[in-house]
Amino acid sequence: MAKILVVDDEITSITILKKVLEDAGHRVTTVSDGNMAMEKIKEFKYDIMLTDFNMPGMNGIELTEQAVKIEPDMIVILITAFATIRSAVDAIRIGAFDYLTKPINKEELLLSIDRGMERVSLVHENLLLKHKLEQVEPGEAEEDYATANKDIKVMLNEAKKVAKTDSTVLITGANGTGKEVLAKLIHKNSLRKDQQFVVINCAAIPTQLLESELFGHVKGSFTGAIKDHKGYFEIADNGTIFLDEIGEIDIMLQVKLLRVLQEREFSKVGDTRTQSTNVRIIAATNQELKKMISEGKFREDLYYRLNVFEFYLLSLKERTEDIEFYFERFIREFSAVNKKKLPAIEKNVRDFLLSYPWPGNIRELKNVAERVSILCENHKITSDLLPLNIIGVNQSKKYTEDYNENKESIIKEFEINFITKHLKIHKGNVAATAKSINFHPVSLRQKIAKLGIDPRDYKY
Amino acid sequence: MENIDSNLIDFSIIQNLIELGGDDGKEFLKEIIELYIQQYPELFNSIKNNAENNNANDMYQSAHALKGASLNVGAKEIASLCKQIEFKGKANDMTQIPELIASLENVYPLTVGELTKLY
Repeated sequence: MAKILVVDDEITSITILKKVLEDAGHRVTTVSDGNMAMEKIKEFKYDIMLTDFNMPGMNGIELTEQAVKIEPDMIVILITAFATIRSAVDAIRIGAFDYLTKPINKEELLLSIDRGMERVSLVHENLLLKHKLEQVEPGEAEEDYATANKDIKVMLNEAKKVAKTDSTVLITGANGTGKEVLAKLIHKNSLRKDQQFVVINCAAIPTQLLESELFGHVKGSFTGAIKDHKGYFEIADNGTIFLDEIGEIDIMLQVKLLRVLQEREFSKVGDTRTQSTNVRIIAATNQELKKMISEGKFREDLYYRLNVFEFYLLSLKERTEDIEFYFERFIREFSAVNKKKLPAIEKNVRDFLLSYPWPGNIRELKNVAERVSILCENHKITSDLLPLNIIGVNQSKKYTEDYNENKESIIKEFEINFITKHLKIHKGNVAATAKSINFHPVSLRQKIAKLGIDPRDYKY
Repeated sequence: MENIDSNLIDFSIIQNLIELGGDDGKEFLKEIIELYIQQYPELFNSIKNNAENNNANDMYQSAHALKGASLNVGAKEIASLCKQIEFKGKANDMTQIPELIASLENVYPLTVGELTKLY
């Protein structure tokens, strides 16, 4: 669907154009002269302007010249009752995309609109690709959400049904439980599957930058805004935006997001014009939003707008059948990637895995599977390949007769629990953790390495 | 439809309008023709008044607008007369304008008669 501004001083032409374009599913605004068109362009963002060539006052060429100064990416198609090579060349020279003649031919008009929208999509795709190249992605999300847990299987079926609608979805659950994978599954099962799917981690981007990334900004709207910038609500129009860590979003930005959900409209930072957007929002959080509402940190109206459908993803310790299921799956995947024969898994490895609480959930389990897959020799996964924090927690329960051995084991258990707890509080930041526990940062780094702790597991 | 005067009406345009209207093709055709009949007097009077006041540029603009509207409903004889007025106005040539306006006055009721037969 394109947002089209039709400019013509002649009522039958306007009526015919409106009918053809609306029947083809486009959103059409009509005005009868160039000045009114400029007013509309200043108020609202259009994909395409379809304008008559010869109008009293400002003609089509003059209008195009002025309009592209404000909206350089807008596609302009000129229409005239009498075409000359000269006027067509003039139109293209000043930035018009195409040139049609009256009377309107439906096929010709819709083909021109489609070609125009292809160019709009290409511009948006280029921006997204540029963004993806700039982003450091921890790894592509899996194509589908696999599970051995029957409750999650039921939930996935519900998610696929909800996917077909345009309803907003809220996904809750601890870090590493696969919220992004579920969001991607919903997008891929939706009618928007051929459109953009954009992932934004609200916690990873400072507030002002996040506002600009979501809504865009105009040149000069703040220091450093040296040119106009398109936001994701514009780039991903007709697609899906996944807002991860929605609980981290600033209260002022929550108001702007609420407007998008309610009105399907927004304005760029520093811009008075309104733009419409047809984006589906899937939000996710590991925080208790209701508690945040009572603390005044999250807007209640936004919560109810986001929470049209809520899916809660159980943590791994709440679905132990998935521990072995995922471990075997990841081992198969990493063996294939590393071109190794599929190894056998010793029984005590399974025991260690099952009794570990997995605070980092599936993400942590995947890291462990990658580690043992790389380290394993003779096609066998043995418990000595597991990180110390997994073995340590379990060994502490099994005392031997040796005093020193038991003492070391208990100290190690304490160290692992204590350090990981504080790493979690400080989101994997070793320096901040060291400061908070009154420990030298270099010594803490050495200890973390010795204990086999990976601070990245506690980053999110 | 066979008794429509092809000197006045381009029937391919009428068929095109019916197709554009889809399921309500005839209704859509009626709507466009009625809009045309509604705006005709204002545009015609503007041509006539500007011609009488020797205002060639405004006469050209009105003739251009009426030509576009006439082309939309297949009123090809009116469109042709408007095109001649438009060219003359653009060239600031006011010769034969009264004759062309008189022709418009003659052709219009005949054209409307043909157009209203269509629905």
